[in-house]
Amino acid sequence: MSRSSQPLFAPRLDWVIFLATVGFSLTLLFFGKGKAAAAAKQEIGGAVAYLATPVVLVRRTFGLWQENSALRQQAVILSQENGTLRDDAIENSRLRSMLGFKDRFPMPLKTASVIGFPGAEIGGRILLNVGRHDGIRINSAVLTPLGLVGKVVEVSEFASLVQTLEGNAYGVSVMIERSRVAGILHWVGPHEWTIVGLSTGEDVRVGDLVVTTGAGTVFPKDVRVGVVTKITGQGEANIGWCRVRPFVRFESVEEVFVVTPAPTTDRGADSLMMRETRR
Amino acid sequence: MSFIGFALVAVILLILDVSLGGLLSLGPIRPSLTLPFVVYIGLQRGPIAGTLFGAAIGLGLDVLGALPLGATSFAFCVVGFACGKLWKNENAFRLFWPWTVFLVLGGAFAEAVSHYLVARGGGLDFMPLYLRSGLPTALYTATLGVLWFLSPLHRVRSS
Repeated sequence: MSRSSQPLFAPRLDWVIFLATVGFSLTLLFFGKGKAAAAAKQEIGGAVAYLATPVVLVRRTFGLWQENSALRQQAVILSQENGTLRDDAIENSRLRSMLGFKDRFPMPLKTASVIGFPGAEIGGRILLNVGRHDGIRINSAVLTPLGLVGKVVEVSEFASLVQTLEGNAYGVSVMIERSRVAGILHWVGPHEWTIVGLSTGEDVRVGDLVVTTGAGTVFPKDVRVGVVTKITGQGEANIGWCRVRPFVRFESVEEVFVVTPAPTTDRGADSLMMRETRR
Repeated sequence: MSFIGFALVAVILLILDVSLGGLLSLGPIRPSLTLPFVVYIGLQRGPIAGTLFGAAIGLGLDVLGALPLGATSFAFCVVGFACGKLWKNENAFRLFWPWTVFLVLGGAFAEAVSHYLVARGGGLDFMPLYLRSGLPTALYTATLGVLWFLSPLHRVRSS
């Protein structure tokens, strides 16, 4: 019986490299959540954001025509709303002074450009050209004139990564503007959201405007989120029985506003971390 | 093409994927510009190059993307390795076999990994999410790969 010239356990370089690489990737996947990994991710993200900036000019050119058309339509709607709002503001101001309410804290906003859509669409993340240098912090809310986009989840010196409502793993406290019924906005699939926590029989109708409640410290109150598009039958509160479509098209958003924390306020997870660091 | 040439193309594709990839979106479906390159390297340069380039490009996407560090790196290195291992370079490199078949299978696997992680993170059912977004994304990526194969940019066709 002839014996093979190749030893039984001869090292196969391709398999060795493959297994080592898979091991490295899985190690990163399961254990790469430390501060060093996060810091490296943020800094490299910032560098690539810088490199990608010229490329964005090309993308913007494509979006100008579409944006112009959308803005014209928006201007007509807003001008109609403006008259109503002016009356409401006067009335509101009078009522506030009568009731002794303090004026709502003004929101300092920072304009930012979207310079990248990293990862798969399902991940729903966008890269902005502003970072710590511009006063952006983790958990800063991100908005457009159309409505809520998401919140900042990673910040480097000159760039920040935003988790949009698409693919989000966090809930947003929202309410139906008309009936003031509140719940948690929850992503349930590609371009599909629901509001969980609504009890059976709550007053929710197709076409209702969904706005933020301002609960928590991340999202300001009364920011438009979307519109109720479907009532799927009033079932269990914890799975949601209505469908919501956000106003913002996350895959094509170009300019956003980031709510920067006011100098005197010290809120949010990032501020908390900074306080801890100072100690 | 030399190793440096491949590395340069990989970096350019990575930047284009991040900055311009959104332009190609069809609703929730967004093709990957980098996966066809990993498949191509695996098929043309063998399992070692496929593994290393797949892992490096995947790591780049992880650093910039929504998925946890190591997820895309794992998926792409498996795709690159499998392409290099399952197909012998001396055979004819044709449109359907191996190019389209490996692209579809590689895309389906990579999307399965990413959608599994997203579904797990969001507390959603994997299969409906995968069928609605993952498989269409893999097919869209494969379509772009086929278009590239048919275009003048691809020179391997004549060999």
